[in-house]
Amino acid sequence: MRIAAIRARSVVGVAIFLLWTTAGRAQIDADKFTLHGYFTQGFAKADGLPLYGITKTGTWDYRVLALQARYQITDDDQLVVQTRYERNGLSLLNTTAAEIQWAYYQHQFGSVTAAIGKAPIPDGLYNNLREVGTVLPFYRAPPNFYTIGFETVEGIVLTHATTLGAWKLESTVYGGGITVTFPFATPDGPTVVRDRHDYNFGYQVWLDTPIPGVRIGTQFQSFQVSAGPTDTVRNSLFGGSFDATFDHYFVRGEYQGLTFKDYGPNGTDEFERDGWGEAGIKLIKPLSLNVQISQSAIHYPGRTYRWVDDRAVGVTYALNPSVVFKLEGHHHTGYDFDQFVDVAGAAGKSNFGIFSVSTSF
Amino acid sequence: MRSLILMTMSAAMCLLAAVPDVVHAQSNAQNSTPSSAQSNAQSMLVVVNSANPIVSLTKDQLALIYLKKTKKWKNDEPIVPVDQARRTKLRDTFSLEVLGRSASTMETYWQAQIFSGKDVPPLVRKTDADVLAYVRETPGAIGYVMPGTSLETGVKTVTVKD
Repeated sequence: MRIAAIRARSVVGVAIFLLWTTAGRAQIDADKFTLHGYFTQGFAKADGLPLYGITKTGTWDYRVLALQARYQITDDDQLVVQTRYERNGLSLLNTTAAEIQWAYYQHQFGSVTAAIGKAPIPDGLYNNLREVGTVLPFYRAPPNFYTIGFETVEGIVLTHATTLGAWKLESTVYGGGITVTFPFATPDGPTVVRDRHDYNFGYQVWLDTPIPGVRIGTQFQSFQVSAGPTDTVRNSLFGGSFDATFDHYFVRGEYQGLTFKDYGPNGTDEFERDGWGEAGIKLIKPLSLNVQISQSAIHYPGRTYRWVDDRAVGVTYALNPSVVFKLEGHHHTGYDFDQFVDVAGAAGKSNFGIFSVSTSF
Repeated sequence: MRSLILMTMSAAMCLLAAVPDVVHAQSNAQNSTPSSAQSNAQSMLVVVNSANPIVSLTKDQLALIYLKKTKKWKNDEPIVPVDQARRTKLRDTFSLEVLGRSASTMETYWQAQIFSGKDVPPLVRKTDADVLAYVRETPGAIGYVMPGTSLETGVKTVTVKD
């Protein structure tokens, strides 16, 4: 914790130093400084096993806040810092103080953008939007799909954007350190494991079709996880995404396959398959109806089990694009609860609901 | 698995190498033209600084500018798109006619761009006069105003083609 605090202060210090030295040369121009943020407050309650910090008693201790400052140093140079604070009921993943989520310097080389520092990883539809309430149809993006920690890389991200006639192509490669957080329940209670490695890389390609709002993407990652006190294993992820977002309805979905080397019983490989899909329609102008299904399956030689199966329905009421109310219900089965469920036995289940209000600027 | 990764990455790199640099291709300046030229888009006038040599744009080029996917004019001047205030009729019209999506959908699009760390939306000026003043003062600026708006020196219209 102390090391993390020192690291966060160091990052802030570097960011302030960069801003200070830059501002010294070129006076800060109000048009070049932007401040954005989002905030969501929720009430959540479950009727069965606890999940995502939600229990039978219900909780208002459910919110997320982020503030993003961006300064355009020159036409081609920008500095971005984003802080974030999150509470998830009784979850061990709560942050007790605002943390630096991003701090990076960005430079434009023609059609290539380079970001260096603690930068967002472009990966799939919601990797960096997983808690932005005014963008998402539900409280959060499917947690079984977006691993905690995979949204940020401490290293470099290169993005190239171009057009092919009416098609637009955006390609990204990245590499650096990633700290992954695995929350899981043991017979002794819930626990969190943080696993950091510095040699990860990946790429993503998005293709925007000539139909506004329709795009497809593919992703790959090669990442490390600890297989023991001194052992590190390299693993891989392949994924694909589809997004059709129109004024009155949307359909989206993603699939990914992960291979964990030597992670299964007796040193065998473990395979994980995750997928989710969602659709929504505007019933009347401010009111939308949304549905979502999200599943994860884990495969060992001779054994497959459904780790997560979440089915959700919800309504959103948008006062305007910056203020959105949501009410959603989930039916959740699987083994990923905050309370231990033995994979040798039947899956656990719980129904939970979240009421939330989100705003952003 | 490894060969599949290499094939996919190679294909992506070939695509990148084969396509032209959009930044310049999309901001091709035309011959100079009288500053009184009217935009083809009847519901608005698209304006640039009178020092800008461009005289016409396609709707697709204009959309790429306002999506901030095209960032420089042919002369390497940075493009600075200026938007009208949120929830105004002119902005709604521009959004539907040029960007192909409603203004509220575009607001959500920009929220996604901001919080995925990609970019921030174009600057906003509250009135036609503010838009014109900004375009007059900023060589690379482009804006749009109501048809019939009086243009003073330092600003000219750009023809918008389908």
